[in-house]
Amino acid sequence: MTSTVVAPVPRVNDANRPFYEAAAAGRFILQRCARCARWIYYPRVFCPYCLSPDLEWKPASGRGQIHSYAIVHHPAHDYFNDKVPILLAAVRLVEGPIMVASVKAQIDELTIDAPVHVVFDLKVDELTIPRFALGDG
Amino acid sequence: MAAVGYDGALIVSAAQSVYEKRPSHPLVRHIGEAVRKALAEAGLESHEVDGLALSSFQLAPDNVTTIAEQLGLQLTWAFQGAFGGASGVVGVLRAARAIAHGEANVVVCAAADAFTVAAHVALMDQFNSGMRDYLAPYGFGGTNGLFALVQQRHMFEFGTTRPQLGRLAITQRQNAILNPNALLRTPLVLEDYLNARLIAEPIRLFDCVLPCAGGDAVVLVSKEMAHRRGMPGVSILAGGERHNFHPDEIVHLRTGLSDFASDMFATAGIQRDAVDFVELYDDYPIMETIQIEDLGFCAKGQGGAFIEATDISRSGSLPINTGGGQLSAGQAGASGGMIGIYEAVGQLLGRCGERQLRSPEVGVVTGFGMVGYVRGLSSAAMVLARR
Repeated sequence: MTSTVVAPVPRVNDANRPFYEAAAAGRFILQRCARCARWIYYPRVFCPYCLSPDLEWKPASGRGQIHSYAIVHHPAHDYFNDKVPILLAAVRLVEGPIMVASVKAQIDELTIDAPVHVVFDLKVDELTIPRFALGDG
Repeated sequence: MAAVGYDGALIVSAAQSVYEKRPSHPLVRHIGEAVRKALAEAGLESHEVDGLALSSFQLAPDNVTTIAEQLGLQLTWAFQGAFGGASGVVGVLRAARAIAHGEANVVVCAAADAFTVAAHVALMDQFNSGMRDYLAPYGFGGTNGLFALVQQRHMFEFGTTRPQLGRLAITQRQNAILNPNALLRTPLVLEDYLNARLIAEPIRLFDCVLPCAGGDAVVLVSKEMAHRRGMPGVSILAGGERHNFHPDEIVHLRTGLSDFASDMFATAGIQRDAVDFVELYDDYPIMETIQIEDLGFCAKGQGGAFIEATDISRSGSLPINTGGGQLSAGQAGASGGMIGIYEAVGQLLGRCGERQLRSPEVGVVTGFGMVGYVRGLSSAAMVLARR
């Protein structure tokens, strides 16, 4: 029996299109509120701190530290059945927000506070989805 | 500030449908079976019902109004919960306030779902836009992966250990063995817990609930009606709800409970040491631990040590999840947010059979859920008393 399991893909919309377009070009950008100057992740239509619609996309460092991590052996989606274990990390970005993404690393290399940097090797259905690798980059 | 105004209503009955590991009935049968049993226990007929609070993840394309149509209930008050595992407590609190304000006289609060493990997994990827777009593409492992992040951080920051968390799973299993409607009733020992199959490290199999099919319901009536009919009842002394608090704590080591627990106990006029038992929302032992801290039974970070030092069995100083909770009875979707209410009401009315506590007077129930981008967004709790 063969099955073609389709990967889960983000819905691209006005709010997040610049994020993926930048990632396809190898750049990591984040939204920053033009009114209150807070950095924001995940992409929004309104600032979650002051409800301003004036969100600007700004180049971001793509660097951070592992705040916590998990080693996923039992994926929630069949597409990942042959890709486990998946190393999942909550990364505190230098700009402030926490971003949860997979990390390229060996299991025994993962530690809390380890530095990570963004990489653009994860492509799903022609979208480039930023994730992380260990080290300062 | 904890909401007040529950004085005019009493919870007079609680019931469940027969839980199933694999659904053999449509969802509405679980809803209707729980509602019928709860009404029968209270000695009420369906035509006397004028309020319905309902929560279910799988209800669409139906809703509280069309379920009222299917069950033949004519309502002056209706509510549908959108708070995941907090919907049960929120629904009961709002039902009590509606009765106190004269908007309804007899309210059934029900929750049900009919999940298979596969259907539950499929739900996770589509649960909401934050999860679907920004977590699912990484293979995040559903809520297991997210709460593994929470557990890892709690262990790192506070020194919480897996043997401490295991005491919850093991003790709840002992309670489930005496609960005829619990799905997992074989004894669990620490070694089994510690060495169970890896799911999302540090979370292993017995940290996870069993998705299943089932329904839970409780009936609230006005205090006046309860007195007139001679119905024994449970009072809501105080309660509260919070949604989207602590928004920057993406890997949350506290819930919204921490914001109102002190006010809730003050409003209830109850010291923590007067609480006879607690029914915690137990999607994972780590979240029970965090809620114990947030309720103020110990300081933040001391939950693991508290569980280790406290007898949480049915004969102990603070029994926790006396019917086995979701971890051992099963998580029938949104019913997971009602199962603690069902158990607490049963305990306070003295209807829990072999697992009955000895004359409990005060119990606390919590709810927690609606995971958005990583965080559980909704928290709710209430203090119940046999009065």
